[in-house]
Amino acid sequence: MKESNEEILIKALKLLEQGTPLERVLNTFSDESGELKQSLHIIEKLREEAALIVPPPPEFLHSIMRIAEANRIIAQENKYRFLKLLVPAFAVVMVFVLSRQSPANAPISHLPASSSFISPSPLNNNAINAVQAVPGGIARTKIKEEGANDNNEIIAAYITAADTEQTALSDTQTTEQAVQAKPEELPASITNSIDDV
Amino acid sequence: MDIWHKDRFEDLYKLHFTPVFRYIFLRVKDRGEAEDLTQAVFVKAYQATPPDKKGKALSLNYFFTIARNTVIDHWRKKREVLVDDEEAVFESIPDFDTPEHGALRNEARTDILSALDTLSPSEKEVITLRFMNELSTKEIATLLGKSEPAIRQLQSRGLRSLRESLAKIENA
Repeated sequence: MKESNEEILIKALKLLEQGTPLERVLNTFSDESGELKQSLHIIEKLREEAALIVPPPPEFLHSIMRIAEANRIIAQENKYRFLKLLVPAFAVVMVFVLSRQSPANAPISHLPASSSFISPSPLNNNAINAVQAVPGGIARTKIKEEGANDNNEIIAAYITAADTEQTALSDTQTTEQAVQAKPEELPASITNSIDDV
Repeated sequence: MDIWHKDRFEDLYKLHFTPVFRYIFLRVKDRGEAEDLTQAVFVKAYQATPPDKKGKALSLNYFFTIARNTVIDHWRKKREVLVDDEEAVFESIPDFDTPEHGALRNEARTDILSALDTLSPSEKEVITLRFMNELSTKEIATLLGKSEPAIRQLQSRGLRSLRESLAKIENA
């Protein structure tokens, strides 16, 4: 069949689908009616063949219903079984997650010394900075003494230590200045006592 | 599953069972397999109907979509190969004339069915859906994901090929 004939067949099939009677379709395409008749004859054969394909008896439906109902029950049971497994598993995961989160939020004094190293809080960082600001020897001594358990105690200890060291330095400087001072610059009481010696 | 749903499903079964069975039978060419697969299609449809959709009529196209996928899955399993292309799966379905399906010769087999096997998979599917299952062009277009003009073209080409094949068979 040529392209134009194919188009005619398409149009004829469209008309048939819309409910146009066969005779009217054939009259519409009278020039092509020979080929159209052949095609329509094939369609009739196909329909006859389809009518020969006999479906199973209606009892078939009941077996379908039974299978569907059984499958539905099994599916429901599986769903509950899955939930039974899922809930404890979810609880375990939640406990684990919460236990992992709590050290970061808890006060550092409740933790061993190593925990502050694992997840240092901003406050702890400040404490470390304060330690670094204090003269090295004293800071290390204080860390050992305190065991780095309490930030506030550490900071207070370092401030005290720093003050003490500063005072000590000031005293040393005063003594050195006194030693280096010329005799004429010394107070009269000191000069007299030297003379007595 | 309430009684109303069962009644409704019974109506759908009476309405759609024959075309679905025919469609599957023409695909698998074995009555037993066709019965099993048709049963599977209706079981799937029955289970897939949610309670809020009970009042809605399930269209024949809905059943054909399930049937088409069920047939494709059936052939995939049967061939024990993974084929992603649906067209390739349909092409792999053996014809009536292949030796391994010699037993099928007992089935009512006519010239027209032999001629059907000479068509391309797309043409064959359109012709069987249109003239053996009485689906409209629009329904076939929706089912196969093609345009209506494309379906009409496949129809006319399929009919032309059938004419030629029948002429050859009659001459032989």
